[in-house]
Amino acid sequence: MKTKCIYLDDSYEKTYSARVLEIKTNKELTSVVLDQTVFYPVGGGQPSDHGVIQGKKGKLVVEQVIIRGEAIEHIGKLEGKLKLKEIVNCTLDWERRYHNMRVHSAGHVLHEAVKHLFPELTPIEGEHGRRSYLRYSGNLDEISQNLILNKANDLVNENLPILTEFVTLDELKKRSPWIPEHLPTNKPLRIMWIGNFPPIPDGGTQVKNTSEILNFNYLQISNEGNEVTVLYRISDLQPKSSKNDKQTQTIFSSYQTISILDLKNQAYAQIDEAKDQEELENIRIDLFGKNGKFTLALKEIVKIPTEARKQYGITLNEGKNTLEEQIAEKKNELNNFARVWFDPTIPSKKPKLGKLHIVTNAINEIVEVFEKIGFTRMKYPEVEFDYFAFGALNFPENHPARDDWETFFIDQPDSKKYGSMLLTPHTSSGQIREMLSNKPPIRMINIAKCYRRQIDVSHYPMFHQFEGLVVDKDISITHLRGTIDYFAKSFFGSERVTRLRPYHFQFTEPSFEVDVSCNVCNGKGCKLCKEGWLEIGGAGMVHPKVLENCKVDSKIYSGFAFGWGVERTYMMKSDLSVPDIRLLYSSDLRVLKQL
Amino acid sequence: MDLLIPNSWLKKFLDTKANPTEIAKYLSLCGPSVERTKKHIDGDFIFNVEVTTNRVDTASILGIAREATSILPRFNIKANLKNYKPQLLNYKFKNKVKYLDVKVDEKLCPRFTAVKINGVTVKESPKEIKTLLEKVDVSPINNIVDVSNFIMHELGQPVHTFDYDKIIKHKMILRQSRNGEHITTLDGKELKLRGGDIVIEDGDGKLIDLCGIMGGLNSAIDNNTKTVLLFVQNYNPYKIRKTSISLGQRSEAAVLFEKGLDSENIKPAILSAIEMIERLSGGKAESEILDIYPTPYKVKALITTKGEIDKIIGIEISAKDMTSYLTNLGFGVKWNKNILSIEVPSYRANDINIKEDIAEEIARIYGYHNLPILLMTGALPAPKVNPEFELEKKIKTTLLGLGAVEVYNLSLVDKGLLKLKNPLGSDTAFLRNNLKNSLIEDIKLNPQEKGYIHMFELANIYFPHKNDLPEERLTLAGIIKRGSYRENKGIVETLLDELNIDYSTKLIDGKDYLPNQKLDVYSNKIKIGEYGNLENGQYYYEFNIQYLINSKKIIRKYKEIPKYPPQIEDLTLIIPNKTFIGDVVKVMRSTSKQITKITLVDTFENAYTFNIEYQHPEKTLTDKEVEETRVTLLNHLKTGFGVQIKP
Repeated sequence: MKTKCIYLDDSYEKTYSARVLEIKTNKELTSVVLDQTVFYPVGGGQPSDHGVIQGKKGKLVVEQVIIRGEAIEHIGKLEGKLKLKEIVNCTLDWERRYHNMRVHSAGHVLHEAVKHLFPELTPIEGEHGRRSYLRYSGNLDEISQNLILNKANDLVNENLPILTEFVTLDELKKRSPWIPEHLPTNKPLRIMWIGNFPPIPDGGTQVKNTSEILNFNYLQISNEGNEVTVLYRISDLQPKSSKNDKQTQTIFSSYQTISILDLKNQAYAQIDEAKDQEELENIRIDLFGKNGKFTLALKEIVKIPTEARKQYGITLNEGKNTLEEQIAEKKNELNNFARVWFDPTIPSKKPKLGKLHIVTNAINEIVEVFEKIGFTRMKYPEVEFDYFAFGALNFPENHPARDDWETFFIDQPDSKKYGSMLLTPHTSSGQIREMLSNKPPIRMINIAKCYRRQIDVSHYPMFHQFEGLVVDKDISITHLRGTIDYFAKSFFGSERVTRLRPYHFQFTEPSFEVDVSCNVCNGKGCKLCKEGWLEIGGAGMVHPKVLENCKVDSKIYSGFAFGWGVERTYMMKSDLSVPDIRLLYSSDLRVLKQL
Repeated sequence: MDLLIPNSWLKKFLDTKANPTEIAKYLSLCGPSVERTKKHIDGDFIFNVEVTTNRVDTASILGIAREATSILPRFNIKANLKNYKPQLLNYKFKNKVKYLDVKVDEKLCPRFTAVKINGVTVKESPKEIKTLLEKVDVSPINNIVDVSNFIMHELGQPVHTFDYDKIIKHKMILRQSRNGEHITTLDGKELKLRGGDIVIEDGDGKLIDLCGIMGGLNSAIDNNTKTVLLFVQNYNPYKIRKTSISLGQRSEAAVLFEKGLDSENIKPAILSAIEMIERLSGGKAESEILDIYPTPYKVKALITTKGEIDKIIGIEISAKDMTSYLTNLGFGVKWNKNILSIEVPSYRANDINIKEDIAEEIARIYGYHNLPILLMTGALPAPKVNPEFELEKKIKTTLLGLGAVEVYNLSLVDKGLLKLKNPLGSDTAFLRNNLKNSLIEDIKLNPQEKGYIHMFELANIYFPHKNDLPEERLTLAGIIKRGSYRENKGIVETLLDELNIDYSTKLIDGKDYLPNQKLDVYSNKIKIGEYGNLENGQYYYEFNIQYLINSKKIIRKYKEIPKYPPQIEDLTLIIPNKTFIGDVVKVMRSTSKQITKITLVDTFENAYTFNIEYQHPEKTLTDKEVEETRVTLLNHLKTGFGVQIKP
């Protein structure tokens, strides 16, 4: 299969007819080979052409053109159908092609200017696409920039003709002073020359006259090792408005997409050249501000034909992202000029903060939870009479808790009415005080010091309990469950669950032991818990005798109460496992600061 | 109390297909808690069960089996009791027998049974008995003693055995001990009794049993014992507890007796024991069993209604379900419309007294986990605000920001005004009446801290009231080591400012403080606190929380930001020795309204540099106006204190 390359003979041919020789579809892309083409395939530093191949029942929007042996493949999205051997109409995206052609010719003009000024440089490669440059072996002083730019523009202004001719390799060798190392063997060998400059091999498309280049508006020299790159840009043609042109209409989408690419390329150069933050910011506003070019282009999207809208959007977005990235980079680069030496790794100096005791923190957290559901924190004596600590709480006369070896007694005369004086061993004495001084409804929380005559790894003679008491009409076990569950979920975490187990206390009936699911094993059972559960403490429905002792009518009112250890409950929450409860009451700062 | 229950032993009474995991889980939810389940080497499972003090009826293999038969059916697992009635019923129970002459005080021992077993051979128990005992942490001794332990674990009734031949007169007097009596128990301990313990005397003044606790060594079974006196009793629980605790003899039997046992359980216990001893030792029991039981159990009855039960639980449970739960638990149940009459089994007689107890039984078997989780819907109580809590929080957060570490010291110390009757030691025999000593001690306990220390405590101190509870005075105190006086004073002042307190200070010497180095803080003419340097060089402050609450507060008002800038200058004054700078500053402040700010920024020997701001609300002061104010100021200071300006 062989494709005739019309562009080699006439680079200004924009439309023509051709016959389809081959159609291949791979996923979304279709490749079409024609018997002849005006589409330039990528190569020689010049990007491939875009355009449309229109058949009777469909068209190919050409996005890439490549050489395959002697054939040229047109690759793109097929809309509808093309048939083998069908005669199709091809239309180039002329704006793109013409721009590429100008950039390409400009590269040759620039080369002549460089060679003229610095004959010692040896060309390595050239690129004439979005980022156009020539690369030479050797170095150039950066101040030569203007020298080269002026020379190149002189050549442009001289209106020199650009000519091409097909030749044999031998003839080429005779006429051209420089021959690239690897001449493509899959392309017809063609030479081009500008004015009176010696010819060089070239397979790309060229404008007819240097004047079409208009002028070089940018040149930059950058040396890297033994090589130098000369970057260049030429001024853009104003896109012609051609709304009524039927042919242009068909490639409207491509045209729009291309103008965005142009816009992007232009902006890219501007950003690159920005000298300071202010200029950079102006560029940014010019692009992305309220009336910025990209902002307006985005509004244009409604005018784009539906079938092309997606591609337009993608191009627009990609362009925007690239430029914003470049702006950010440039911003940093500009900032770098103002950078001074600073060491952020130097050790800090921390302000001296104190430390509240773990019990204080626990109390604050506990109170916060219960206040949300209408409990009020109350305060009652630590030093109590037997009646409040035991008697009214339904403890029988010879109950072990009243023994000398369980409770601390004060060496003071007994009260005739209330019995002996003691350090309250539980916050439950507050229940009696509360009910005697306040009428239902009662929702009380009492957090206080308690004392028991015990000292070992898990007991200290002084500790803290928190006691809750609710007394009202129609209070049942369900409310106790609700309150305890609310506390556990607020305090330990919403994923935790609670359970009640039957238990026994003198002042509640029924009585419960409350467990919360273990957070370490999630209730499966582990070393820290009992079969997946951790004990929090006791609870129960207030014993009717206790209510009666407090002048609360147990036929009308009922209630529930719970009393738990503050230290224990808080330790269950914290991940700190303190081996000995007595450490909480240590005054060793090394301990306190850890709690 | 904790019990070990081997699954294999439980299955002797419990007929069920439930596996050990199910048994443990469901018992815990509805009955006694199974704290842990351990697998034994032989594949058996051993439950560690916590029995509450009111449920001593479950403190045995049989007791747990009884609970399981009530609970498991709620989880759709069949369970029945078996083998729980003793088979030997051909014995006569008599309140007098020929082989033993007994005198019993019913108040000490509500039921007394004993039987003589002749012709026993003391030897090792068979392997299966020994293995079961080992599973419940009991060391096998011999076939007679092992039976005692076996029956106690199986039925929850302690059993004792004497060597009948060692009770020479075959006589027993059960009485209270007298102060000074001695007994040597089976474990070889010689105990001196203080009186009031239940003991048995052999009629010769010799004590042979410390009842309910441990037998006497002098009447113990040994390898040569031929005749056994099997002994099963119930004792006054309070007496047993007192003896057991005061002598420190916490035997398994004592722990059971002190909870109050079921006298009805004695008969099956003695019959089972006879059967076992005969089987293991080849002995033969007398056909008459001594049984002194003057007041046998009368069935206890309770009456309630379905509505009352439902109200306590919070949901309605059908009468049919209530009946089934209760009868499974051994209760007699009769309904008359909604009125529920209950007969309480003997083993629950101590525990079931009121309708709430019945509600508990029904609710737990129904399953607490099946009850809804609800919050109260009733009216909220009228709000009661205790300003102490608010103030406490504010003080603590302020001190936290100022770098102080909070401590909680024990309220019990070696000196104070309120003495404990039964302290743990002489160093914790009093309730403290100050926080200072505790804090001084806290500093001493931190010799490793080489830098600045600031610790504080907010706690009650205690002062006796005649014929009433003591005063519990909530107090804030703090101690600082190694700060400069000006900085430390700044901390206290910042705290008082933060609390918005309008106060003044007075220089007054005080205990533990260096002379001339303590200031009392007054507000509303009441002393609210104090601070200063202690004799040990540390800085201390203390405030009465109630007085802080009642103190005069600074009324805060928004002040316009001055429109005109101040004139600011530094003045270095030479102030004569022994002049109170506080007084100098007071005079400086009162000199002119135009002096709006005075800050002491530097001191060197007698030279004090003040940063002074002059400001007028309506204009910018001219240099001349400032100069005039300054001259007046310096004149005042010169005449008042002999202050010179540094040239």
